[in-house]
Amino acid sequence: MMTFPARPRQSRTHIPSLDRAVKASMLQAARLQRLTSAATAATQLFASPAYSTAWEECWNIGDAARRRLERLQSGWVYNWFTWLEYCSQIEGAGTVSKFSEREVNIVNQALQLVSEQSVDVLTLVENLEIDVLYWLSRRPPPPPPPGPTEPDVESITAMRAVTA
Amino acid sequence: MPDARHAKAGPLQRYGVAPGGNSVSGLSSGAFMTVQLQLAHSASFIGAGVIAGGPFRSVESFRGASLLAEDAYILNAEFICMAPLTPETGPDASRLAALARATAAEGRIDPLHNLKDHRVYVFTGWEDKVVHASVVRATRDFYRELGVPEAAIRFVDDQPAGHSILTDNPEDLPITANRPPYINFGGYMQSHRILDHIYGDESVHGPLNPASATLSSQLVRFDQTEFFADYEARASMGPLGFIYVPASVTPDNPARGVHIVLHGCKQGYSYVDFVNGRADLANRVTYGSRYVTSTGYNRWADANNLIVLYPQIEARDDTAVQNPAGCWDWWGYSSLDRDAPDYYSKDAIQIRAVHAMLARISGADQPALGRVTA
Repeated sequence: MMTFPARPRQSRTHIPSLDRAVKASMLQAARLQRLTSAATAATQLFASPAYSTAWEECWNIGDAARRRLERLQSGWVYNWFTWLEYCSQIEGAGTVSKFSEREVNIVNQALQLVSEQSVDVLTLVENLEIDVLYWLSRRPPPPPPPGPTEPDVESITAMRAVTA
Repeated sequence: MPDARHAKAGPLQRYGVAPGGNSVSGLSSGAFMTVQLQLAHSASFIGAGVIAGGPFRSVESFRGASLLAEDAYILNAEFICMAPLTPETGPDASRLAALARATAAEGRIDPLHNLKDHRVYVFTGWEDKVVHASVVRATRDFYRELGVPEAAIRFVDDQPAGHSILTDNPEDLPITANRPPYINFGGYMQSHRILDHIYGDESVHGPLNPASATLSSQLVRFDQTEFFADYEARASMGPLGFIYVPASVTPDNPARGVHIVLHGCKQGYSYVDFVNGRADLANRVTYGSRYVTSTGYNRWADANNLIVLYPQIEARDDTAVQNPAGCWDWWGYSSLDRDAPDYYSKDAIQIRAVHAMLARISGADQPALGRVTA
């Protein structure tokens, strides 16, 4: 049977906590690089008067992100109300062990909700970053600034004839 | 050590199959793979059904998303190919069609002129929050760009469906749901609509029958490991696959073709949910079995003399493969070369495995007729 080596893993050390720190640094560096590229490209794009639709498309992206955030928020509110309802129901926990389990469940559910909401926000932020950068990368390059005009060969010839 | 449970499944058998009648359909990652498989082997198929899937090689839309190629492809998959904020930040059908032409010119997929004779069903629900409608519209446009005739494309976007295949089973989730098992009640069997469209040209395939109320035969398990044995560590495919062969299929009455059904993420028969990063082995779900048994493909096949093949992905999350949700590979996880992953061509591990299964069933891997079984 043909075998393949395991894939090399990035930033692998023998210290798990160090691995995490390196990975987190790499992700933040990549993110910083993306944001820098986006800022540069955006500056070039909006400085050019040639792209009148750019503002509208940019507005649409921001508006879509806002709507997605609103949808997330409504889901969060629903989930917290469900949690509150669970917290308020104490009937049925008739033994010490069941009561303790219920109390632990309340804490775990709250932690789970906070965790999910944090991931939701980070995902939306990353979505926005990638989409904006991708959108900027697909814009045609701005036209070159007007430079010196091509020498008019006929005028130069005529001028030389006059000065000769 | 071989698992004794898998020894109960025999090898995939050869059956009588009429030429020129094979097709493929899938949901979500299975839909992305449907497009890849169809293009890689367009000479082997006559049509495809794409439910909530994006165009060919769309994860390669924006390499600049990250310094590392593999990270860029994952970011593309999540934020450009599944949940773009606007159509302008989604896959570009024209650019990807050009990429497909270039891939065909390199001989890595079949010539694209085969697509002129294909029939394609493309579906998106307007409540789909996983693979957004604008992405699936790009898939429709992609097929147009590649020359699939307008009359041969059935594009459906008028349902409030979440990310799912629709059924008429009342026990399935509400139509707007966007959660596993991604099988929602829509009041009709979407699989029947797909097959009606693909095989709907009476002049070619003859008249179709309504789906059977009951099945004349049984699902058969088979050992699918032989089709990826050389690449088992990276294939992320399960040991078992399933096939449905109607009782009407005999050596004297060959099937009209083979339809390959590709499940979505979290829908393989062996899928185990992950809770807080750990496999929830105490509460194993059975989404995969439901996809194979309850989505309606078998009843349509039974009435219309069609074989249905269900290859299966297995979730893996280790040093070789990071695929915890058990998705088909449409972003390169099965490739050794992370900078230029091959997940879309005839040489891709999963595509090669599934196409070899198709060849086995229809006898294309054995020119001499030998062991035809009913």
